[in-house]
Amino acid sequence: MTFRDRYYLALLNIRKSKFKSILFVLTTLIFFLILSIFFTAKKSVEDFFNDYLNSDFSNRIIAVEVGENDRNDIVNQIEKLNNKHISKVFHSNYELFLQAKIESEDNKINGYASLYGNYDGINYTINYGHDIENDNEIICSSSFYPGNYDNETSDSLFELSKYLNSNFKISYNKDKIDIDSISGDWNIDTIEEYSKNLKLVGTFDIKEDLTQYNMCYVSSEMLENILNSNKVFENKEDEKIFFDGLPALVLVDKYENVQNIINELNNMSYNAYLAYELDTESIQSVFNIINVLTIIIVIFSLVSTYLFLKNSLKENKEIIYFYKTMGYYDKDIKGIIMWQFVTLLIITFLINILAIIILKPIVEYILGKYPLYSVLSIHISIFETLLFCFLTIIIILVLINIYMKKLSNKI
Amino acid sequence: MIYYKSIFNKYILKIGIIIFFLYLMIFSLYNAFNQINKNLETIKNKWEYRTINIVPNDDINIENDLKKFKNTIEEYYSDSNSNLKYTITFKNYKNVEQFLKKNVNHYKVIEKYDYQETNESKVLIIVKVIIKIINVLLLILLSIFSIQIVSKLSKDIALYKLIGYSQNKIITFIIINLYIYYFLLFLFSILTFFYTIKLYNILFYSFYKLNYLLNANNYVFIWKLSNIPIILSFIIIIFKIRRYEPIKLINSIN
Repeated sequence: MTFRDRYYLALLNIRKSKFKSILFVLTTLIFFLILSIFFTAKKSVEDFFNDYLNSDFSNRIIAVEVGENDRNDIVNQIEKLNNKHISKVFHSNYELFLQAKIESEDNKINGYASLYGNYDGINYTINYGHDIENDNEIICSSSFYPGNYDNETSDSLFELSKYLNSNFKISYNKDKIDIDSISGDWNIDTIEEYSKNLKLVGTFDIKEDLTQYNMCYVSSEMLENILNSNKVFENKEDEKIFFDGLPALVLVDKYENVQNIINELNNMSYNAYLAYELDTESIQSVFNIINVLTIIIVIFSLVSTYLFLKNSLKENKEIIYFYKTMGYYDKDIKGIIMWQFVTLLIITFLINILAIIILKPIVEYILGKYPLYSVLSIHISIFETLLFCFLTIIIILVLINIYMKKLSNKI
Repeated sequence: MIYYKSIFNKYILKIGIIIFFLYLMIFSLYNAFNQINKNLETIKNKWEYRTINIVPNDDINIENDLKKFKNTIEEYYSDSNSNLKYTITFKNYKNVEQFLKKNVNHYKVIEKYDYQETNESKVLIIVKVIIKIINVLLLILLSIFSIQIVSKLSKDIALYKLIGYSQNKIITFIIINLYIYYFLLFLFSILTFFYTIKLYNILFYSFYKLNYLLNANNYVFIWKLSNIPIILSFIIIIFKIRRYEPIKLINSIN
């Protein structure tokens, strides 16, 4: 009997027992869907946390205690290390970003944003427009929520791609700081209000970069110029008190290099530590729950599928008896039954892929309706389901062999 | 004895094993669901969300209010300089709102951190939704297998009819038998689940300790949910019983 004959008879069996075949496809499809949904979710969550560690640069900032030392000396010494993994050294967190008022030309966007410099090591993925090329340019998160201070429509999340190439007015204060050396009282007076018009040339993907909704980047030179001139101190002593206790900050290129840099700085007798301690315990707990669920789902799916396949095979007893009565060899009967199940499994697998491809945009649309939950990018994972499909085929081959042997002994 | 033939049908017993595993899977997912809720509560119950700084109005004796809430307060102290500002830490973040609502005109709240969802908590909420979707798929599987059990009973029903049982009597004892069968499977899976967690914790304690977080209410809820496919299969029996005539036995090879 040729392969073609066996395959033809397998298809004939499927067609003859239409209801049973549909039921088989439906049942295995649900098993496949459970695995596909679970492993897609697992991959998405794992990718999310890996990105979370690397994309959010606050996880890569090291604080270095200044103490009684000269702040400039410490910054110079760290810069002199010429460590390729150190992207930038800041005197304090006042050099890191500027909180500024942001207004669109139509005044619909009217709130506060955090402006950061586009230093090396601060990565973002431009999804509309282009990166900053000049000092008068700005890029912001594509889904923008400009704080809830002055914004009357504070519940709105703005799609900034619609505002590309339009001007935004950025306003910030120049403050005079006077600290009373006896009482310790701080007097901060605004002596001047500045504003600049910056052109929105691009937006970055907030889902890829996992930043705040009111975050923007400007050229690092321009930010440094603003930050160097937006504070005036009454005297040198006030400046010292103002920055007293604030650590210098070191930006590292990748999360995996953070610990090495901390060790290197500690070896130089500095007190260095992670500036924003990440709650890795809760992340680890999410991973543990997912890992245990993986074990449970895989074991139960395999056992249930095995039992289901065994039952489905027994339901073909009548067909097998029929072929035996007709004088077919065992080898041929095995081939027919095998191709019958393999065809059904392949059909199931293809329907499963189709269902997942259709489901993905639907889920993304639903998540998009709730912007606060749209942090998760869905990354489809088919490999595990494909592996499960192969395992199912192997199980069915083993079961067919065992079953045929049993039947031969009986007859 | 013939009453129990429908239950001791070999095929039904085998499908019963699959249903038993489906129950185990539902329990495990529900347990994970409760674990996520517990983790979310831990995040929400951080010290900063349970602590408020307040200043009592002039005519208010704060000690009276604090006495009323003494069971919910972990600690409190007043500002050593002014004796006006009180810092109160509650045992649970929910107690903060309760305290402020009950004493709305008594205090001026100086400092209070409202809970803001972190990226971890958002992801945990999404995982909860995925667990719910998988549970729905498992219930669909349970429906398919319950319907398969019912369809396998056609020959038994035909046999009972041949012997002379009335339709009502057949329906009654099949439904009662099957319901007891599902309930026993459910109870057996509860026991297995309980001991599986114990065994897991003995073997893999160092890797990750599993908490047993299902209570009686959770089991009642799962049982009620799993009744939907079971009752669906019973409805199918009631509607199809007329079609199962003794003539069907002629086609039976077994």
